[in-house]
Amino acid sequence: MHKRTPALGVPNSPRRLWNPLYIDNHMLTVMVEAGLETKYNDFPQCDQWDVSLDFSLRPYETKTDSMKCKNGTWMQVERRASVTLIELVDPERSQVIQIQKQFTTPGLLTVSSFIVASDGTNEILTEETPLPLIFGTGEWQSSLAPDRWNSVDNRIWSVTNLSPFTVTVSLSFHLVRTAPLYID
Amino acid sequence: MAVNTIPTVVDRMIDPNQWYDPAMLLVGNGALEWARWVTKWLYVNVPPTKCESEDWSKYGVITSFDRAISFVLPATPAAPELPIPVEGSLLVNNRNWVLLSRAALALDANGNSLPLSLFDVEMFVPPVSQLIETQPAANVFGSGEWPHVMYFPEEWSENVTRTFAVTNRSGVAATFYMSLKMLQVRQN
Repeated sequence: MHKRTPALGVPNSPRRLWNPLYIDNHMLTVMVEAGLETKYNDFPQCDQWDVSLDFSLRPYETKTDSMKCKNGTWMQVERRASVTLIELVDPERSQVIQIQKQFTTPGLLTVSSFIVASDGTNEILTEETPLPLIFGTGEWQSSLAPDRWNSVDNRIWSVTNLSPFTVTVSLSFHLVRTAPLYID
Repeated sequence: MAVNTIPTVVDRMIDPNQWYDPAMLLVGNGALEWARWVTKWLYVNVPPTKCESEDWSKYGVITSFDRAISFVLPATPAAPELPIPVEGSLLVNNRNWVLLSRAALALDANGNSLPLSLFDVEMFVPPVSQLIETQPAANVFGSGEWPHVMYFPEEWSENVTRTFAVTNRSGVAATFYMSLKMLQVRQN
């Protein structure tokens, strides 16, 4: 039997410093979303994941990528992004080297997201917007409501580079999910 | 100009046995009463009439949406001319929404971020109600990193148009973006 972790964490663990109502509601939501009954006094073990989508974009290029929810119910609680620029420098005038720098005008990247519904239509969840408004710029931006990626959603993110530079964009999502190895 | 229709009146009496979306416990103050109310608010016009609340989720899922509005602003004219506000509007569809937060970003032609304090914003519901009096955007909109979180999630009634007006005082041509994080029932 898979050992259940108490909802409030083991004694003296960092999780006990969290607002118990908040984490309990998190787990209650994830558990209910996963179709588990609430009759258990112990909550199932939940994982917290950091997943990412990465894009390398040439000037004025658009790319899409998707993340299909699998192995149970996910709930997105935080998201952030980083945008970096590969710069070629030749300090010694003898060898060109690449250095990676933070891109200073991330507002020139736009993002949008949608899912493909069961009837084949696209449902836009994030209208095209400059990236900093949705993800911040390296700092966490907590989602204010659980953005639920249930087991059938295939979330598609699209990123457009409106700058004249080649950049690398990394979209990071902090997820809570029921552990796939949970066995009653 | 879009004509606002009279929104559906939602009975504010809450049945303690009404189903609520458990995710709504994470919105607002975490109270059950709030979760029931906001679930009822969002599901107005979604399920068929006489549908039990336990079956509401079969007809749609409460989902987060990021709405975007952008304003292309010419450079501030030289004195004594005054800058002219640029208007944009957002129409709520045939379902109720809830506003969680709002954020703004202003970029010059090179993509550099401009201070939000250099842009005035106003928001009103035609023809009369001014919900945001003209003031610097920095006071009412946060940034992407630190959005302006509503003190409590704000109810937006169906079929109501909100008009925003932005005035550019930065001196340079700019594009002003607003991002509004909403909750709405998704039916597909």
